[in-house]
Amino acid sequence: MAKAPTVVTASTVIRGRVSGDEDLDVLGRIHGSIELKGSITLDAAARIDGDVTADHFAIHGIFVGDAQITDTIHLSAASRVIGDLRAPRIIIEEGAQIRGRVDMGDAPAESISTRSPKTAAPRRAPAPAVTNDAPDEDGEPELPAAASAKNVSVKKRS
Amino acid sequence: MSNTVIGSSITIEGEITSDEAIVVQGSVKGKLSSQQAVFVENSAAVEADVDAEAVEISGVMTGNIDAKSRVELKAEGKMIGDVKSPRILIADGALFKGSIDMDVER
Repeated sequence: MAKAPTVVTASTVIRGRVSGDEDLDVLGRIHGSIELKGSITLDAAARIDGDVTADHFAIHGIFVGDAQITDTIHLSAASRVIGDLRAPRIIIEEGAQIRGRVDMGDAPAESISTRSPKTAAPRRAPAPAVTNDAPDEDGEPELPAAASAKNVSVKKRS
Repeated sequence: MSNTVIGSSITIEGEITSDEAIVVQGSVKGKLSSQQAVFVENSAAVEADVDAEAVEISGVMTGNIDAKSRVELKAEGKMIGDVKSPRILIADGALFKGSIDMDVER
């Protein structure tokens, strides 16, 4: 009884808030938030809808919500996740499906999210040879122009 | 032979529904329903309405019980609430406050 004392079996549905400081094995369903000092194991046929705070989170089933984990998140091959994951260590196995943000850093999320659109935007621009307003074009690869030219040549139809 | 177990350090506020037995060692506030037995163990504090086949109480229980077959309040158990069940056992030493309905025909 020492290991994973709390078990939510396959036919069990919990709606509400779960909190505590021991390991939790979920084979059934939990709708609601979980706040735990310990490990959570989400079985392959199981599902959690809600935000999760814990030390370890092993996901084999379906998880919909945000996870804030102090140690490790492990997404196994069969897992499906919709939501944001935050942990210093995140392992995603081949086959795992995820939609959401993954954050392994201590840096605030804003500094990363503001940097990424700046590099993404100029690449999107159409490729006329003369650009008056483009602020920075140093070191930008000229791939988009070549790609769009190729598209035009392909476009002839029989 | 698999039970849902709510460990002694766990607190659940909400509703637990299961086809299997539920063993509560921690605390549950809300509602508990099982197609089988619900065990409120020594360390448990349950503040919930319980709907089950059978209920066994060794911990502290506040709320109403509706059990299809039986309710057993053990010597260590403390219970405040109403009980509805065809068979009800209260052991020597147990504390109980509430009403009992065994669905006796007049």
